[in-house]
Amino acid sequence: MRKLGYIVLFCLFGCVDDELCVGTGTNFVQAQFRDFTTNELRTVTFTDITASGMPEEFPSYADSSLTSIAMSLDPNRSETTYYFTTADRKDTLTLGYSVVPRMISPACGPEFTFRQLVLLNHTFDSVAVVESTIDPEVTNNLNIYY
Amino acid sequence: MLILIACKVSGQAIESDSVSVGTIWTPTSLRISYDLIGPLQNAISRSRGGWEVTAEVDVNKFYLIGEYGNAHFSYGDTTYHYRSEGNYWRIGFDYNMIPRDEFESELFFGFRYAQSNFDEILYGYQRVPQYGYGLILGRNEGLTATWIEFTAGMKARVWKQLYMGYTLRLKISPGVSGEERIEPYRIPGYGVYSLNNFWGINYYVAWRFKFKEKYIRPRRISKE
Repeated sequence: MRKLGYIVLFCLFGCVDDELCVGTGTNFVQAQFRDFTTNELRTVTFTDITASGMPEEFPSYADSSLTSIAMSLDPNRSETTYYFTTADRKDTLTLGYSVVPRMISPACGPEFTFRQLVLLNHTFDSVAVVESTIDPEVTNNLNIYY
Repeated sequence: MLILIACKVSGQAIESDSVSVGTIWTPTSLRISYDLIGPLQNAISRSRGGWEVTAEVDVNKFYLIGEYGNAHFSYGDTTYHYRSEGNYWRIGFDYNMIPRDEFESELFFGFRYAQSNFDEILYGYQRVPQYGYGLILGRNEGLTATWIEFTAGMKARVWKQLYMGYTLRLKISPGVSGEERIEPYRIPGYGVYSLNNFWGINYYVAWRFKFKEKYIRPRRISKE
């Protein structure tokens, strides 16, 4: 009986949570710029790119030549609008999503997860959502056609 | 561990076995168990606790089982707070592998269907790239979770009708229904929702109310 007690105690204190402290969320949406007629990747030179929500650490895109962009989403809202300015036009792109907090673990705390990417509005020639899942492993969510 | 215990207890049972169990499917006893793990967690941990009771009806080699409990989990630091609390129940059976034990102890494996109704709240903040700190605030109310369990364990009579023993549980296939404003994390009675299987253990103290002698058919003796 004493041995059995030791075994039970071993189980009581041995069966503790073994949780990994790895977050799975990202607030970045990946987009590629493509030619409207050929669907090929296209390099676009922007004079400025800004976003709603006044991001604190938004990078400067002045005179940037890009074929793709990682667009961060505002965690305090369910939509974020981006403003793309080139030498001859100015376009807007509004993305909708749902923000669902989740616990990573007691040690790591919570994180935001962003889900269900949808296209709410835009002024480009065309925009296609190719992947609505917002995940660090997704390499392209949107095709933006010029 | 179970195999070792099984060998030991089975050995005792076989030595004392001079009769075989009858096949009458009439309940012979009701055993009420109280789980000691929850109160122990209440005493030593601020982050978790609860209670659980079990009712078992002895029918032939089976125990028909109903379990009911409450559990709460609370985590946090200076940046966040999370709490989950709810009730859960399980129904199922255990199959007693030593039905002829003279002390009517039990070495068993079994199955459960389980359901939990629970609430969660999560608030705090998190630093998000380019947007600084974002406010996290969400509450799940009235979520329902279901899962199944495979069990194994033992209960031994220690004094008169007083029993003690444990149940190991392999919990699998959790599913949650309801409006999720935060991703469910801790399901009372199950564990971490994101894990498709979860181990659990209960250590019970139980009292058996015996209302009928168990029918034991005399063993046939060969004339040879």
